[in-house]
Amino acid sequence: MRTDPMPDERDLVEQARTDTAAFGELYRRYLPRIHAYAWRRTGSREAAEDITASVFEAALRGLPRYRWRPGGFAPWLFRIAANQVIAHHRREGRAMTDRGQRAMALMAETTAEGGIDDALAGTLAGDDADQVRWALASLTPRYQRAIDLRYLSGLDQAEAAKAMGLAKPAFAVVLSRALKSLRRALETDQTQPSEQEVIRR
Amino acid sequence: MTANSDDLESTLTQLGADDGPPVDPVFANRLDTSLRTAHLEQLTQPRRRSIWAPVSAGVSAVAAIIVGVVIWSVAFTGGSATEVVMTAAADTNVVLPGEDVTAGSPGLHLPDGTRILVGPDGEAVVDGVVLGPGAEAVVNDGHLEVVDPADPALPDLAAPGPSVPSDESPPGPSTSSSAASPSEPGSTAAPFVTDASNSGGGDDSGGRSTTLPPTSTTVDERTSLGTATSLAPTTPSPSNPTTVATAPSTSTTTTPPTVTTPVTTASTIVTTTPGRPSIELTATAVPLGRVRLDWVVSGIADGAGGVDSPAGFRIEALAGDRTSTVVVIRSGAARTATIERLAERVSFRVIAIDAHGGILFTSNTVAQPAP
Repeated sequence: MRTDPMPDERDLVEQARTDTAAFGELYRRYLPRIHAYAWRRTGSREAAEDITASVFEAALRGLPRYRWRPGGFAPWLFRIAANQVIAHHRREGRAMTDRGQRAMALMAETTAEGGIDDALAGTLAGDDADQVRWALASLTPRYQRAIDLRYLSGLDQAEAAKAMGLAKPAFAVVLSRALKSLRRALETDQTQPSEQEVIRR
Repeated sequence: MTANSDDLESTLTQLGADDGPPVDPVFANRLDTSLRTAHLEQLTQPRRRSIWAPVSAGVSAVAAIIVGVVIWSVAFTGGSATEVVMTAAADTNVVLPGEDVTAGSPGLHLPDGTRILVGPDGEAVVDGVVLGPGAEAVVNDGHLEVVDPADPALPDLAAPGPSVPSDESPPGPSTSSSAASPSEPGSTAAPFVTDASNSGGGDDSGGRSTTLPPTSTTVDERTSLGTATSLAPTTPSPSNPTTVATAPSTSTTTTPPTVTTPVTTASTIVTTTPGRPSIELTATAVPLGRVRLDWVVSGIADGAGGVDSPAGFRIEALAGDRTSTVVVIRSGAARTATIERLAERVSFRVIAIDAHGGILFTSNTVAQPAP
């Protein structure tokens, strides 16, 4: 995956401030990467599209204030994306409160053959990727950003550090703590019954 | 997976390498269109919200209402106290009343007598009116007049001005000609400038048009009075018609797929009597909070170019006993205009004018339709 800023990207970003065609070119360049990143974090096409749209809308609004930095446009854009993913999970978290889950479980019980129940089970107790996604969403925003930018956005360590506004050593420390926190979250996920399981009981 | 496994980083790396499903092209196109529209709005906004905006929103709202009332009163008494301002420009020359030529730029105040010449790849937004490539307009009596280049009374605006070489691009953010251009060939993107009023399709025979920015969130008193106008010259009505069906006129710009269908469609059959010139005006609510005005000119004994043939049209907004000129179109062939919905309850009428601005005949008055 290409992460180096393209040679003409700085000019393109400058043009994009006042030139819709130039912004369109940036959009076309980054759309697949942002969409893929959002999909990795959510595992849902719909959520990925929602997040992708909000990322580019936020980038458009923020472009007049954007200042070019070494590393290029990507770290800035992926920082926006990471924030949008976190906001998405916050919203999802609100939707999945105990009360909300009870309501959904009730719906599942009243659904013939447990169709919704099965779908929920698939979402909440799915494969490794789903577990990692859920565990990630439980981390602090700072740790989520660190892991997102380093592993899920396609940025290298230096770019991810820039996107976080940190020097590389400082970023390495944050990333290490983030991974430790993620491991703990996964342990908790494994040793304690999930909310879904509690509901089922 | 186990939380203690050493392959957490490996799992993350694998997850990071999974691109998931490809981007849905329909979604990609829709977002592209939406972003282009939003970018246009952003470029045409004369003022940006500052960090203090949330704090001062209440104060600003009160001030805006007061100013709005004052401006409204002035405008509706026919005064010209309001200034015409250029809010965006690309590849545009401005000929000031003293014959000084300057490059069009955002924030440029345009006194009466100013002429605006948009280059073949350019675009300008003046007082809420977007002038398309090749468009020409003059500021007269505090409002914009879209000029018919065939008008012999007007000087040759295409000639290079004395101060700026004809091939010099305007400076600053307005210099980007592509900001006003449709998307490049092969692009899946929708055109940059939209005109929801002309969704009926058709060719681009006019070669110039004035089109409205898709939406405007700026508090702009003149815009709120209806100077943000989208115009598209159409073919002249047939000479000496007896039965004419109004229909959406030909298109000069393409509409993005998300805003192609008017909310309501006008379809009026007008029976006229030859020798009694008249204009039948209809107003149609169209998407994006706009109102499209379509009119049919009939009863012109000698057809277009005859004694009664209008040299142009003046669109007026009426509220009670107040009247405001929305825009003047110096083209007898124009048959449609789209304006931003006005906040007040207003009516519209179209007045056929001669070359000197004299009134020839007036349309019926139509109320602004409900959204």
